[in-house]
Amino acid sequence: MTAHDRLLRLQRSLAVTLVARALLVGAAIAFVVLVIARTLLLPAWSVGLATLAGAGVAIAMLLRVRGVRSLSRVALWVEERTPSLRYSLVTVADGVRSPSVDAQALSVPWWGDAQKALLKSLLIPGLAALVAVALALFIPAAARLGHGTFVGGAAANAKVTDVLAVVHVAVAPPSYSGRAATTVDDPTSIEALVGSVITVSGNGDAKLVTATADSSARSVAQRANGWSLTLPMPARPGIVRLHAAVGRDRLIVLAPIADAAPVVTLLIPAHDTIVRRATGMFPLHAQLRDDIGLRDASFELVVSSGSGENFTFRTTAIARTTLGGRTETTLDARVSLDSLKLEPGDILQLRAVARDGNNVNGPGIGSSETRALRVARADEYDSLSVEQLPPPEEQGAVLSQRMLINLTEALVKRQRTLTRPVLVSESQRIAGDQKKLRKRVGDIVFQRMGGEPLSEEGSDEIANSGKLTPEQVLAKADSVTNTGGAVMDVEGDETPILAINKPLLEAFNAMWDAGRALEVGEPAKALPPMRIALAAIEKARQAERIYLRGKPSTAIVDVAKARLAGKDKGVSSVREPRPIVDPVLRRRSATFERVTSLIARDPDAAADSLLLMRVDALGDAPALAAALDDAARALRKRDNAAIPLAWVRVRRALGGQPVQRAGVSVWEGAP
Amino acid sequence: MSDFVFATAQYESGDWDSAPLVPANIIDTIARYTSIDVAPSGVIVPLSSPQLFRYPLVYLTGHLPVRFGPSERANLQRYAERGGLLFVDDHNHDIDGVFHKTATEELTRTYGPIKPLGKSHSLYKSFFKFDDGPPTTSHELNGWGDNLVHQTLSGVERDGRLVLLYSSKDYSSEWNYHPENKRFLSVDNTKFAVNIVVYALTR
Repeated sequence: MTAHDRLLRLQRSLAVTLVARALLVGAAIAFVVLVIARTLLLPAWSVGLATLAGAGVAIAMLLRVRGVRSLSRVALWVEERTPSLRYSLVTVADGVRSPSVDAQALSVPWWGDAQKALLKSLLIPGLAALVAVALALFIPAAARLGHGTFVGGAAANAKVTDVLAVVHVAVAPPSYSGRAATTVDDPTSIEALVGSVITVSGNGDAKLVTATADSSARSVAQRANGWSLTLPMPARPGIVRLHAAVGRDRLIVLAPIADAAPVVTLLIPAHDTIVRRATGMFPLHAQLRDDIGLRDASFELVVSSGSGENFTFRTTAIARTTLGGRTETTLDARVSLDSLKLEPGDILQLRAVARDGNNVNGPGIGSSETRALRVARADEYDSLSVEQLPPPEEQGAVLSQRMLINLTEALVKRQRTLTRPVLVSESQRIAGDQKKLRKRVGDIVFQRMGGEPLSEEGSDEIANSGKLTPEQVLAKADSVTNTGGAVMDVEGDETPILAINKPLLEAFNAMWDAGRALEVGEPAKALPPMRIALAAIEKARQAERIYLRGKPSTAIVDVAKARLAGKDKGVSSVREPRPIVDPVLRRRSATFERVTSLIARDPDAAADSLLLMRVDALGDAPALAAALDDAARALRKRDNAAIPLAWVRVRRALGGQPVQRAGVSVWEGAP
Repeated sequence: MSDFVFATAQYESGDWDSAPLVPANIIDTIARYTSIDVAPSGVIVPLSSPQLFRYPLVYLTGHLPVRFGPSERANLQRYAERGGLLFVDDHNHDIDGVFHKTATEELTRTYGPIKPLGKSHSLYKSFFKFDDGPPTTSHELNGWGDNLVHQTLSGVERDGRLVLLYSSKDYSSEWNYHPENKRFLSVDNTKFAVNIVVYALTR
């Protein structure tokens, strides 16, 4: 084989190697771009981008193949690697046919080294292409078919996707509710009344679909155009898991809505009642409400009779009314107390009762508060039979000292026109009033001094003993207070009790003088002591007022606090121990954090986890359950705008509302 | 009795208790600015009582006419001889008012002529420095009472020492608030009380 022949063979090998290398590098670039696109969850156009990138690189490299068409350039490529040829091979390539040149071109075996160099140039691109293909195959997202994001999977997968791609749910509420059936496509959660019939359906072969609800298998039926699953809405939250032969499971949360019992409010009578005799008509009025519809309502009456340990009861219902599914109405009745034949001591207890039309897990029964009507016993003296009485005689008859003076002055003016007996009679009447007033003043004095008020005997005693001197009265008061000593020696150290009561005692004695003058029919002589008594009473009032005003308020300074050396009371910043987080809440928060970290890798799995959390929260945290539903729905739709908002809602539902705690100072602006 | 006890004078006539929060406020001020052992609450001492001599400083105020009884006057004279300082403040802040007229008359009869104190008096430097003399009160500046800003205080000295300090500036109104409310003031207006107490204890 001549050198020219070997050069031609090398030219062909070089061309093939360059083409292969371009293809390998292009493929590697395409798969690397594809892996990056899948990792970043880019949409379907990213596949075209990868193909374009790979093809572009390959074409750019293929352009270099044009140089191989020149045999001289091939010879120069060999000469570059084997300098000992001394351009003999280039000479051959230029068409020189000389045996010596040919022998020189074949003197060195350059073709073996050239082949090795070609193979070596394919090694790195080949390895790169292999690694890129392996990455594309082994990344989880690469094996997934998610909502058409990537179409580069097996055809079988596409078939499974069709089975669970679209799920229809039809909800037929129970007949008693009177509500219409509804349908919804591709739901994450179904909220319906307990007992509603739920039909889940989809396209495809029923054999490819299995279903479980609350861990128990449910039969999937074949319909004309797909599969179907029927189940009732349970009383407790649950989850339906749809499983296809290949691919992801679909989860649908069953969120039951409980039918609330009727709310009954008894408006009349508004409170319990006690009557002395149970006669006449007794009006009853109640307000009824229900979320779905009321079926019937009535008033229940219970009459209890007897006392001690022996009681008998009578129960009856009145005004039973069929309401026909109304959600709000009133119930009125009038009960004849005569017909109940209530005896003294009997108690009539009454309430309103309403039932709804729930024939699934009901009926729901609601009742009002119970009111009692009691018939008073004969020996019972309760508040109803209190009769108002006029004020006692002595209170009404007592006149003020000023009024007595006015009466006496009027009597003095009429004195000349009156006969002596009439004058004495009128004067003695005023004297009687003066005596009563004197007795009241005496009572006040002695009560203040700590003793008993003047009794009739005491009054008589004083009356019998005649007018007391101030010394005698004060001595008597002193005997009551057990102070002892010369009580009239009040210069300098007069006690407050004596200081207040001395004017009253002066009035007391003046009234004595006035009374004696009036008793004998001398009203004109009675006036001076009566005025003295009035002045003394006024003086006593002033003394009392001045004495009370003299009490200063006491303020004790916390010296240690003023010197900033006191104990820290912690008033401005109350340190409270942080509340222990509810274990359930802590578990849910931890689960939610794990779900959050799952979003980037597998959003569908994260959505399923959210639905499982929703089932757990439906019973005790409805706000959290609603937020989880929104988050799962947003995640399923890949709604990048709604996902952060839904996440914030879930976090708020988990953390609760912000609480303003006592002791935290309120920001009031910059100083 | 090692603590300083702030005493309020009780006299027979008038309303001696018209500024009930002043003692607590001054006690708080003493505790705040000095290390004087001060009793946490004040006392009320009758002017006629021998207990008057237990207290080196006695505060007297009121709105109504002041008429000392013979025992009160004699006791005050002995109190001055023994070095006690009587601080009298006109709660009316009115030199035409009945308190000023009657009190100055009674005090002159008891202590002798009352003379104004110069701004260089040691009272104004005994603790805090008041270069402009006695601090003004809001009642003066607002034109209440006699509508005058009194430039000086008055007093009577014996042997170079004040035994009577008379004020028409109405510190009784100015200082008559609960000490807890002092935190709302940008400048504590009770500092002059420290000077009075320190003067009474050190001169």
